[in-house]
Amino acid sequence: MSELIKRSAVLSLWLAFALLIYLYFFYFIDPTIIDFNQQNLFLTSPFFFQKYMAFPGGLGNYLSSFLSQYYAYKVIGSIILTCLIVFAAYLANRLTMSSIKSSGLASLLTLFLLVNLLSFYSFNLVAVLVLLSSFGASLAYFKLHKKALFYRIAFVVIVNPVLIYLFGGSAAISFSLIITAKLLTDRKAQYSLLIVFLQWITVVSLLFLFARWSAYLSFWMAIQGVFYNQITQPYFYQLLALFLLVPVFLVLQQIVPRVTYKNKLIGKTVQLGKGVEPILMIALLVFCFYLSYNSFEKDKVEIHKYAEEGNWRRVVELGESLPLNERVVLFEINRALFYQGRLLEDAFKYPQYYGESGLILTPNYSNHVLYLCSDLYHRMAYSKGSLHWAYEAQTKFEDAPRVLKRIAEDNIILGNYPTAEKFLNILSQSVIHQSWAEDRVKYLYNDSLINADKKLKYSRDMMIEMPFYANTKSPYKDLILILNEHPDNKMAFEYLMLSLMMRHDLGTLAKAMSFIKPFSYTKMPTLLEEALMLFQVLDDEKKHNYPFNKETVRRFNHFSSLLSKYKKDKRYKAELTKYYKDTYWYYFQFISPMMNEKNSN
Amino acid sequence: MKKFIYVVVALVLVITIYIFSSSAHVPTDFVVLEKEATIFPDYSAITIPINMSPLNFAIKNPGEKFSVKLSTESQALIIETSTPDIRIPKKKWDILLTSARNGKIFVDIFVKTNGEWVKFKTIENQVVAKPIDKYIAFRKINAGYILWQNMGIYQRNLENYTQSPILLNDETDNNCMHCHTFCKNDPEKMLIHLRASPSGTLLYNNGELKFINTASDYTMSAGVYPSWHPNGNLVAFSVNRIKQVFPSFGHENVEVSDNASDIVVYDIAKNMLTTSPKLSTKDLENIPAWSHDGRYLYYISSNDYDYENPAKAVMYDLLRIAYNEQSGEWGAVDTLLRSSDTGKSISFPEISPDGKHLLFCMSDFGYFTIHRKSSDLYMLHLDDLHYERLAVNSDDTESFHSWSSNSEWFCFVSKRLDGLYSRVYFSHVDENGQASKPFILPQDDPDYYDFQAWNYNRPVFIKDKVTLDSYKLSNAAYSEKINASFDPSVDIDALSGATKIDEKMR
Repeated sequence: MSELIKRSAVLSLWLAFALLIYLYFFYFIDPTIIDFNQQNLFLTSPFFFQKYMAFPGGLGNYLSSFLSQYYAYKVIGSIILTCLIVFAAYLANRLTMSSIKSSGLASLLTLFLLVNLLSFYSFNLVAVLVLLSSFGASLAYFKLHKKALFYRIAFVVIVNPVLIYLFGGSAAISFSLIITAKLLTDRKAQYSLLIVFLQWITVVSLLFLFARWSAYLSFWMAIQGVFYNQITQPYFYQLLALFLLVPVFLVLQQIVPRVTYKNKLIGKTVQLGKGVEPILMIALLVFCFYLSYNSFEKDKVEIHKYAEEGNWRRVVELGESLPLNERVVLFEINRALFYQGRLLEDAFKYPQYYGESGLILTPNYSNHVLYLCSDLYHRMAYSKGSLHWAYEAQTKFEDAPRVLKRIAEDNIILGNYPTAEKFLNILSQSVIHQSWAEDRVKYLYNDSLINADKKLKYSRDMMIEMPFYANTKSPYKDLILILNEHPDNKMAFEYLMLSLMMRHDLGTLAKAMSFIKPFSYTKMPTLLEEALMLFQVLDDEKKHNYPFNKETVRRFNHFSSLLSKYKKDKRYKAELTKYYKDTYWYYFQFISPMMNEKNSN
Repeated sequence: MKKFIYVVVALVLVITIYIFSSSAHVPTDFVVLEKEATIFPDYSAITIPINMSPLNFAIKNPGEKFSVKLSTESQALIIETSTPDIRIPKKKWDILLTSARNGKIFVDIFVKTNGEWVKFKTIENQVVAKPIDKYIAFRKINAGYILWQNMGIYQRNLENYTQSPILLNDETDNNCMHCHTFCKNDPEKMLIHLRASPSGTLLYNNGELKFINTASDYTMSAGVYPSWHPNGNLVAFSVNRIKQVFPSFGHENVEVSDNASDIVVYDIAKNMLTTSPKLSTKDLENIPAWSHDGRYLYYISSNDYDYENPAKAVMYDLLRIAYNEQSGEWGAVDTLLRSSDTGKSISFPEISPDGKHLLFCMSDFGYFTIHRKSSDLYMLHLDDLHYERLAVNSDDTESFHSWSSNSEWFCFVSKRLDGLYSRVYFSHVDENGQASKPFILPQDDPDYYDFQAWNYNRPVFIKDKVTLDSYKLSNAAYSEKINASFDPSVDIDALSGATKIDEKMR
């Protein structure tokens, strides 16, 4: 009876853990944000499977793609993460329990480490699957542990190549570490040294041979497995600890002597402690959540998710809580300001440290902004520009669904139907994205349906016919050409004007004022007025007659007088900041990277 | 024990009955249609080499059941299936091809719709006894124009569907690799360029593997577009200042052009680069190709590059220069085709190994035809120097062609399927120099091309498999690089070697 109660208590504790972990992932981490960050795609076609099975460790990646595609659903994603964590902890428990009675500390630590690792938005599930495969192989070996030598040798010889082929080198090495720890610390085990020797020789030789035979990996890549190129990741040491935990525990269990409590009082206290053990464990788990949850990292991903969804209010809110020295944060804020109709009013309320590079990302592109480069142009209805950057993004992130969708959509707009069809075919093989693809298939070769779609029609109407070549280094030149052909492209206009302000190219800005007519602003946008006023002062010819607001003139005069004082006495900076930090004049003088560059030179 | 025997006997009987009852057969009661079935890939009215892998296809006409009879004068093969994918067993296909040697294979397609069978018009394909080279080597690349990620040089066995990497960029720090080239389709004589770090040319020559730096103080770049001399000791390279731009209009996604280019020749034995004042002029000499006997170097050239207006379309002519292998002397330059006459820009000359034909591309302008929709394949007959546009072309890009070692076949890439990705096609050339209707590289899965999202770049025939393993190739890339010297006897631009580059062109 007492055994039954004990089992029920243990089960209840596991269930409580599972529930807490589920709630943590559901309410705090949010698998949909992991999904947005990782852009997981799984296709049901055999072709997709074959692609993964072409290289050692492919099955792990394939299964990882399969499971992580469900991150797209908050509930299912949280369940998957919870199940994997609990299952891994359970296996760790089984592995460490089988040699000597354990307090379950190994499984608890496995659980904590996994909670921590899976809280990283960039952490790939494949490492967990690799760990599980090595745990599974180890448990199977433990079953054979007392069997005849032949079975044990046969197991080692058969399992290692399978493990390496399906889950990669790190699975086999993890398996080797576990059985080495087990065999070397189990005094009753026979032929331990022989098995350990055989295991390591088999694994190292196999890795060497796999590396020689497979063009997909070198020997060091094969040995590192899921650790390859991970050393710079913030979770590297947790990942290492996760893989070392069970073998280390198996060794420690033998080295650390079991404590016996001769003193009755201590013994009773320990017994009492066991009573509060579950509460302590839950408290530790909650503490683990506290340590693992990084709202800052979440916000950094979520800002892009909100932008993708067009939730510009949230973009601005999140952007304000994030460090503005991150270029992509400024980029998103600028986009949000445009959609809120505030770009030419409030852009300099945010310190635009990157100048033009925080407005349009193409001059300083990197892998992680390729899609954003595309997205800006897509929203600007510059479909060729968008498509170019989408292809670059697809080259780097081959299966990212949003990139594939973008390529399909841009090609529909551009009338490249066979190309669009290809990408829709691919997406239709995904359980998650099938409905989206099927919806878009209707637009193929159907110009009237495209014209009935407001967004697609707008993009088509805005298509460039006039020949020019994209200027990735100076994108403002493209904006001028776009406006020449489509003077009603408001986004192009506002980005052009801000771009020119940020480049300090006020002469071109003054000329580009001719583009303002179609937009019927109720009043001259503040930042434009400030820029033109500055231009009037800086321009030697001074033959402009812009109708400046009297208040703007007064403020400019005040700014100028303060600036003159500042040049003699730097303490005036505080006053300038207090009254004018949101103005173009202040940006021009103090924030602009061009001015900072000039000053540093 | 008796029970066990009964069970086994019963099982054997059941399986035997199943096998016999389910053997494929063609329907006897059907409606005959006068049109051909729609199949993908289009394997109708084509010419097939005797050693080609099975041409699996999918029937696009809707139906509940499908029956296909492939037959020759003496053999027949029937496939019955409930899915439209027709996968032909390799062994039976080989027997069929052998029986159709220099004859025809007939493909009868039956589709059951609403309980009734219909028979489409018989497809007839020609089988040619002259085999195709066993392998092609190609580069696998994505659609990106500036960036790259998963890239590799692969080889594909044309007699089955086996594809294996020769070298992947995973093993060379995600390097960009390109211009894999073989001497006379020989897998034992090959070169591959690595562009990023480590940069250089992997040269594999009869068992010896070296990593060469073909850049020198006297050339504007390392060797780019290569061509092996048939003697196996010389490799002609272009040296180029390449740029690419991205059009905001039309259907092209990128345009690749040169600010400057010349031609140099690398002597493997001497590890020395040389050139000639005739190949390193102010004009844009580019894309060298040796003749089958090594007596001529064919190349393209343009003199209408406008430094003041670099966006102006550049038109290339086809030229050749005589070469004396013994003395190393260059002869006269001969212009074979002028763009002003053809109205199009000429590129990528490739001479058949028998020396009879020269296959080349022509497009609206420029030389980098793979990104140009207007690029088509043309054949120049070298006996009378007349040229013709080949019927193998489509409305989309055709480019990167290669001759098989017996001059009977050529392969090329075309973007006709989706306008974006290049796929490999094969065509037979008869004794009159006429090219047959092309067919796409067969795949085990007929739906393969629906999901394939990468390019077959620069496919080239090789007679057999490259057995040099990638481990050795990647190791060589990290070995000590051998710097090629520049021929001291060449006196161009005061030993500037190739054309001196004006600062404004940089």
